[in-house]
Amino acid sequence: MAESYYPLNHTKLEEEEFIQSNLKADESEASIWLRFKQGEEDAFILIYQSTFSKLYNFGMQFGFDADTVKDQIQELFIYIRNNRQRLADVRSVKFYLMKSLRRRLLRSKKSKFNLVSLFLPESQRLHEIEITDTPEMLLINKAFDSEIREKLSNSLNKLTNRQKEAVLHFYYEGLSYKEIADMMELKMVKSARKLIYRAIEVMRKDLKGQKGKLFYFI
Amino acid sequence: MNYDEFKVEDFLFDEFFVRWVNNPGPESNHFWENWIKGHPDKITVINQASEIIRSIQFKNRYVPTDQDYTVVLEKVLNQQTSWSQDLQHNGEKTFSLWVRYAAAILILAVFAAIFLYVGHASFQEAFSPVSTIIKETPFGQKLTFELADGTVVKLNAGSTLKYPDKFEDRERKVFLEGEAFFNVKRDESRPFIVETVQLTTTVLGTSFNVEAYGNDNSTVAVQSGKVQVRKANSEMDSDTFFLTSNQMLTISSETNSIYKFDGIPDDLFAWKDNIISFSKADFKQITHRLEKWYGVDFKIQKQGQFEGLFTGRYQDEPLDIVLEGLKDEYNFHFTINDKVVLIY
Repeated sequence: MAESYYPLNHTKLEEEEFIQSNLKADESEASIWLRFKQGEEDAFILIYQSTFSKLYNFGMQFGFDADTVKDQIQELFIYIRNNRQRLADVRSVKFYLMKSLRRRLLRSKKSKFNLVSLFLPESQRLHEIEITDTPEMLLINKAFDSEIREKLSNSLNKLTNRQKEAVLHFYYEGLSYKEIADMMELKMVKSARKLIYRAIEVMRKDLKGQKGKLFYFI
Repeated sequence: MNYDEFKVEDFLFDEFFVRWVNNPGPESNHFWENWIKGHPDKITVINQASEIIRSIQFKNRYVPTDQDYTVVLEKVLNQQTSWSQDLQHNGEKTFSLWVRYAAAILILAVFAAIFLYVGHASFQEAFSPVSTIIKETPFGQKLTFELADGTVVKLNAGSTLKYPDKFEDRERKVFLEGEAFFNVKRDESRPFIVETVQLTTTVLGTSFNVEAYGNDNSTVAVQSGKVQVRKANSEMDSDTFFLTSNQMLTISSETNSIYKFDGIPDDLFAWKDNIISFSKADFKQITHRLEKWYGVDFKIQKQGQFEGLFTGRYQDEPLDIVLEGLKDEYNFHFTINDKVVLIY
């Protein structure tokens, strides 16, 4: 029991660790970024190498086809490579690249599909969230049975696209409220908190009837 | 934060807790381990909350192939933009036979033109690679010149402007350190862009002033027309501002915050007409301006404060005339010796 509350590593952190091991084994992200800005090609390759698959997966979640995502990643890297002296110092390279890619993708969609994209049904546009059974859930004291998990899954997928995106940034990517606001181009941090709050409200309402099984959740 | 009454949903909303679950560090481990030791009854709540957090992920995980990785990297290293690929791509698909004939004739025509043109200076110019021109003014000197597109630039003292000898087809981009006044030749198909370290100013055709000296605050002021100003390296709407005539914007070099003003101080554009103008300036601001304007250094050897604000306006006057005016206001003596002004 003593071990049971300790957050264990789990699959969703795998690629995170991969990035960290590449970027943090010998030096910090910030110093690699600095070396890249000073024109060192190996630092650029290192940044590409350690972020490419992360960016690809992230871009694909927005419902674009693989070619569009690859094109925009390509444009993004060409841009930072050509403008390296003028780029700001960044605290997290990964965050900076994800934010830039997101913006490029959403902008490319607007210009490509023009007005049509405004009328696309929401469901076609953004990611799905799923509560999955991670291996670690077997290790920890199993708190939910499959029925609860399915319920949680359903209520998460009822969220609006923006709420879903915020939920993924907060719980999956590990961003703070401030970073979510930055990433999603919200004017106020308060708006990011509101998105998460609404998401939790939806879960709470859906699970209200499950007192016996999840009695702390009310 | 008092976590004693927290339910699952409260933990889910708490940034500090979520961060610990996602990315535990020595400090947060220490805090939460201690907290849980003191609240053994909360273990189930903590477990449920952290399990929800850790269970949330994308439904589909997309993994790029090794080929994706290599192909994109190669294109990046060869600077092949997808824009140029699209053109090639569409070209192959849609060019019908008669378009090919037309293209062949056009190519012949181009060869003919080349024959006629060879040896002609402007031909060589037009096909020579673009090179960057750097105009630089030392302190004490100003410079007025015209760019390839007809835009007139007046560069204030101690400033640098970099620009290509031939602008691109899609935009006219220059890079400024220091201060300059631009009278931009109107060309709607090619926006004129002034980049400084902190701000990017985009216009079609207008006249405006950009000030971005080293570590000072940067300012963009518009005399006529409309410009768009954006924080450098940002494409966010919230970092984008529009200025019309008689409006200005200042960005703080320390905090990066932006301030927009309706109305421009009278003396802001004065420099371009060789007028040095102070309105309610303190002594430090005045000497700072004079150092840049005349290319001199001030050495202050007078005890005590220089109090009071000074208002004055000089056109094409030498430095000693300006100092004569200031001398009575601030009660000092001065000598000018080879670019050093001694105040005593």
